[in-house]
Amino acid sequence: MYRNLNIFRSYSTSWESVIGVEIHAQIKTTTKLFSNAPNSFASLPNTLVSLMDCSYPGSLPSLNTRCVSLAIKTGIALNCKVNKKSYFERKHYFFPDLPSGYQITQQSIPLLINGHLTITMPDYEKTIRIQQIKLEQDSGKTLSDIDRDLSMIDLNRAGTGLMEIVTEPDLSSSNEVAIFIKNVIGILQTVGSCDCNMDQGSLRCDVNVSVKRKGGKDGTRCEIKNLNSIKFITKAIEFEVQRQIKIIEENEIVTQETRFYDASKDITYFLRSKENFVDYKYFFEPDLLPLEISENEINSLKNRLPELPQLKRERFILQYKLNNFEANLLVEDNFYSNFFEQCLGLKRCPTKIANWIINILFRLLPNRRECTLTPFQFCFLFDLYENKKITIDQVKFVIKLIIEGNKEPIEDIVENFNSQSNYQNLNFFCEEVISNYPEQVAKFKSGNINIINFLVGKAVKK
Amino acid sequence: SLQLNQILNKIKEREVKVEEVVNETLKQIEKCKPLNCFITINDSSSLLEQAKQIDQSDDLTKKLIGIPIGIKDAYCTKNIRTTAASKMLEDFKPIYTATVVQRLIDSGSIMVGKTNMDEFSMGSTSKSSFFGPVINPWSTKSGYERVPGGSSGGSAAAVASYCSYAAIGSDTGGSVRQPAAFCGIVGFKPSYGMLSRFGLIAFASSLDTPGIFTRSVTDTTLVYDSMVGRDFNDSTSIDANENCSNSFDHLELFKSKYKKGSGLKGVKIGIPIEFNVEELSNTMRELWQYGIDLLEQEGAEIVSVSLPHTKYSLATYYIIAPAEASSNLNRYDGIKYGHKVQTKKVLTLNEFYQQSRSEGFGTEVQRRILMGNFCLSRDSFDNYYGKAQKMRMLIKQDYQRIFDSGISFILTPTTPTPPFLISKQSSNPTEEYLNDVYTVPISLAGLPAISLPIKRSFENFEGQSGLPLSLQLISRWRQENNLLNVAWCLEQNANMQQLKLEEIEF
Repeated sequence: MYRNLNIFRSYSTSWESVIGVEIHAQIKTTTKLFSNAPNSFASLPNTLVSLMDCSYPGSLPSLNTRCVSLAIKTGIALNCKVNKKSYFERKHYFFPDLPSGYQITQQSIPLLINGHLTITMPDYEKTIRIQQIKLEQDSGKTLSDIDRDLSMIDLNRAGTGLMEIVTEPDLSSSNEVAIFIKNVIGILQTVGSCDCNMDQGSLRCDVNVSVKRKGGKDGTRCEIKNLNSIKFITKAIEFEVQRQIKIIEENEIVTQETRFYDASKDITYFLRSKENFVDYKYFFEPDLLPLEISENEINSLKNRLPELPQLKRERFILQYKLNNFEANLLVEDNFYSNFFEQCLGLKRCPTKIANWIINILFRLLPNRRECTLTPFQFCFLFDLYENKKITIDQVKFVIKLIIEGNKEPIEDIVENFNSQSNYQNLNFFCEEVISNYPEQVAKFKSGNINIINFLVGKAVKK
Repeated sequence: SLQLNQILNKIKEREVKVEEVVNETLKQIEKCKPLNCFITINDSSSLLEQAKQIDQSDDLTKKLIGIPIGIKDAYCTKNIRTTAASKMLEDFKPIYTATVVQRLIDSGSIMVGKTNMDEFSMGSTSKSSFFGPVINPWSTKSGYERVPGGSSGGSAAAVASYCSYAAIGSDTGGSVRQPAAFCGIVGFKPSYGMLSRFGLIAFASSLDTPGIFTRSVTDTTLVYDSMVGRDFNDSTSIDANENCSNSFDHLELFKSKYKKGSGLKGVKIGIPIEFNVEELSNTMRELWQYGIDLLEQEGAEIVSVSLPHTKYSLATYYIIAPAEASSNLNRYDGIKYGHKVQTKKVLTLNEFYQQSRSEGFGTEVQRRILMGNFCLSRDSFDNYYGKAQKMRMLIKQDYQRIFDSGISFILTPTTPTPPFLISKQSSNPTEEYLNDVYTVPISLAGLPAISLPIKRSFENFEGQSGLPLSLQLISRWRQENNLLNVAWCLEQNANMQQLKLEEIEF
């Protein structure tokens, strides 16, 4: 209630939110950025660590060029300019999960700059500028919740390649941020540079939020970290905007801070001040050569880009006569746009298939990211339904079985289903028997339970 | 007291057994223990076992078969203690071997031990070692010990005192050439990138270059050929083309065509005027002239050249090197390996770092880390590190210009003085840095250079005469073969009286 009142107040004084986003996307390669240790999630701690990853004396970095290719493809998909010569730099600070005492990153001259992405909101379109995309190492993990007195360090993640995608503060609402991030995810998945799994941490987002009065001067930014789902990002932004508005309206000053989001309380809280700035002592990484990309290489990567979500969405609308909403949903995840198109093989109706995916499949899946149903199975059921051989309830039932782990061939599942639990026919026969033998039914109702056998016998005969 | 190439021939001809060679070496090492050349001496029974294996095998074709070699303790050697002469890595046993060391092992050589050095390669005296100073074998008289130079002093002293036939060190600002000069042996630093740095404990990444100590130029070619070649583990490592590989064969060809008096006909040698500073002692100036005369006798044309930015070299080096070192040493935090503070007190993370590092690092290392941090700090960066990088480019261009104008080689003294006494104390800590004045500019330019012993001093220097005096030859980048040929020519003409076994008495 308090919150709603504030929104009301803020509309009346015309507050604007100014939001920028920093996305850290783990690059989907088999090995890390500067070492040949495997890049994989959920292995036993400290089993994916090479000499370089634990900063062993005498170790040296060796660039994984596939990371560069994927980053460039991502940048091209986001309309960035490729810096034909960019440099790696060292960013120094001490922390247990940073074994070298410095991170190899890019600072003054990153790989990609000056991109943009246009997002489609319900009533308008908006272009968000991408300031830069840089290549850098991920750090290890510090786990403080396993032992009360010890911090455990797991270096499996240390050295994994990251693309840091930084926007200009062009976003003005939590909704815009949500759409923007979803669009970026769509692009990253399509290009294949990141699997964008926010739960597992392969995609992480920080947001910078400030507020200002319409036509007034810029406010102070606060950075919010530790946001690992789009839902939390939107909620955190909404809370933060209100927090800052309240401070200013009470004639206080918003201090520049780094804050964390607490999902359980739906608040952001102070983590550290940004006023005591850390001097990272950047200088060019002497163990690596400058990163040089030729015009030919850039063109070759550009030509190998698959169809990007924006174009795919437009094509789905044009070619398959889908509406905006349907096209958006299907294009959001590469897996489902492919799924959809595979189902269209035998001249099946696109809008019907789209409808089935959105209204049946999506609703039955506990987690949209994990779908064990194949297009073949899906179409099998679809065709049966179109030929009136199966009901919609039966379809949902079979899909549920498969999602829950049933590995039998779908033809068998449906057959068993038909012969064992033919609800509709059974229902019909039972109703018939009941209406044909009213005396027996009356006897049953007055307490003669055994008479049911007589009725059942009659039904089975049918 | 043979040279490497001579003993190698005898081994290959089976005129001498490797077991004998190793035995002799071990005896000499035992005798020379007071010099403190080694931090770790490999177990003698395992060395003799290696020797026996070679003697029993049919195949003696490997390039350095059976040759005892010393390895600077800055190179990681699998399962053999590697300390970088620091308390920080006192008990550190690496799980892998540095590329260049592995190549030497694969060439059949026998690693006798890890040689002593300045801590983390920082210094030019080898006095800062956690394991005690190294003593120059040219000065064994008690109370008059001299420094062998640094930072690879142990390697230089080991070769000069016949404790090994060759040794490798690392040269960042002169750490191979200067100790070679002080110990009267050949010290070779190839072009930056020519030899892999993988496994070399880093001091200053853009300057560190593995280097070779031997008692003759011919020996140097044999060791160099075994080590050279691109290493994909080191991104700054470069390919060896026909100008900088197979140096032994190239030298043999040069020798076969050599006619005394015209070995250097048509070769232009540059003498940089800016290196002729007032502080240069008469001894060294005379030595320089002597070297010039020797080269002229072989038909070389001597040309005066100018390297105008020379006077900024030391300052440039002493900004860039500590800056990179401070960064490279961030990893020694007591968490993953190396020295960790032992205490029952509960420390904050910062206290843990501070105490582990303060205990693990010696004074000079701490000094350089602080210098480096200062030069990289945001307020100082532009005036220090930023300017130094620009100056470095100008220094490189000085040399480029000279070589482009037709000069093939440059000749300079290696050091401003003969080897000085260990007991000599500097009035301020940076005075020691002046020792590097002739070697540092070449490091900044990444050029190949070699230090050759020319003659023994006639005058008394700090109480001793007959000390080794050396000159430095520098060539264009990636012209190692030509450089070694000319070096051999100079070596022939100089006919240096090397340190005799009998002179090393305790």
